Amino acid sequence: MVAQIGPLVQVGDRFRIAVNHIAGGMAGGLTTGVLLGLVTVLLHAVLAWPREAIVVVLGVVLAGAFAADASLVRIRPLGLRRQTPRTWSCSFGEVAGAFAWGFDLGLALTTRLTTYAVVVLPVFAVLSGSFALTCLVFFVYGTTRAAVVVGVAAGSKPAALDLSRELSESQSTLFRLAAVASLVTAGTIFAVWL
Amino acid sequence: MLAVLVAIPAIAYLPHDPMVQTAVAIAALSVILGLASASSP
Repeated sequence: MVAQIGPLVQVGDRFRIAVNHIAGGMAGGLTTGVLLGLVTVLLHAVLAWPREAIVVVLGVVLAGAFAADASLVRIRPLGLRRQTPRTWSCSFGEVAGAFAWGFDLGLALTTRLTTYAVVVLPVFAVLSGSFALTCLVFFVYGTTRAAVVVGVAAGSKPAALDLSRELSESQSTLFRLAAVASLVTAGTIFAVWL
Repeated sequence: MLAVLVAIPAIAYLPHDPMVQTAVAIAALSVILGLASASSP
């Protein structure tokens, strides 16, 4: 993704492209948040489960995500295998294409899941029963995912393609950090509820 | 990324409903996941 958006952010109409990409991420995150928020509200109207159940389910999911992201166990990659189509900048134009890329990334579930821990977001959304909290979680994810692409690409000295290669090489370190974050989050959630 | 990671346990000390605290913890995790996703080609 950095290799695609990078050249657009580094040259040309960089500000509009960066703003549109981040706005797309926000809109995408909010879209998933609203849809899953409606699902959780409807589910809660039909089914009932104790609020404390969220601790057990999130604990299991986060522990599984930790094991998979830390490569302790091998689990088949989850979710769709597609990435954002690189042809969108040609189809929609550079500015609208940047928005569409951000929107696609912000949706979270339409592109390949980068870490197993992402699964915890829809699980929390469904179990929380809260429309507002579901929207908040996905809005933060969509915004961060889009903003980090722009931030990394715009603030880097090397060409975006080289940067993308560097990031891919540090992928295992980032995934291990994400795995540790899953464990820390699980511990925090247990501390909150117990 | 490390700053967010270190800040997550502090969420347990926020004076709020446990569900809100859980949501904030998940939101903080989602920031880390968003940062980690930049490594994806």
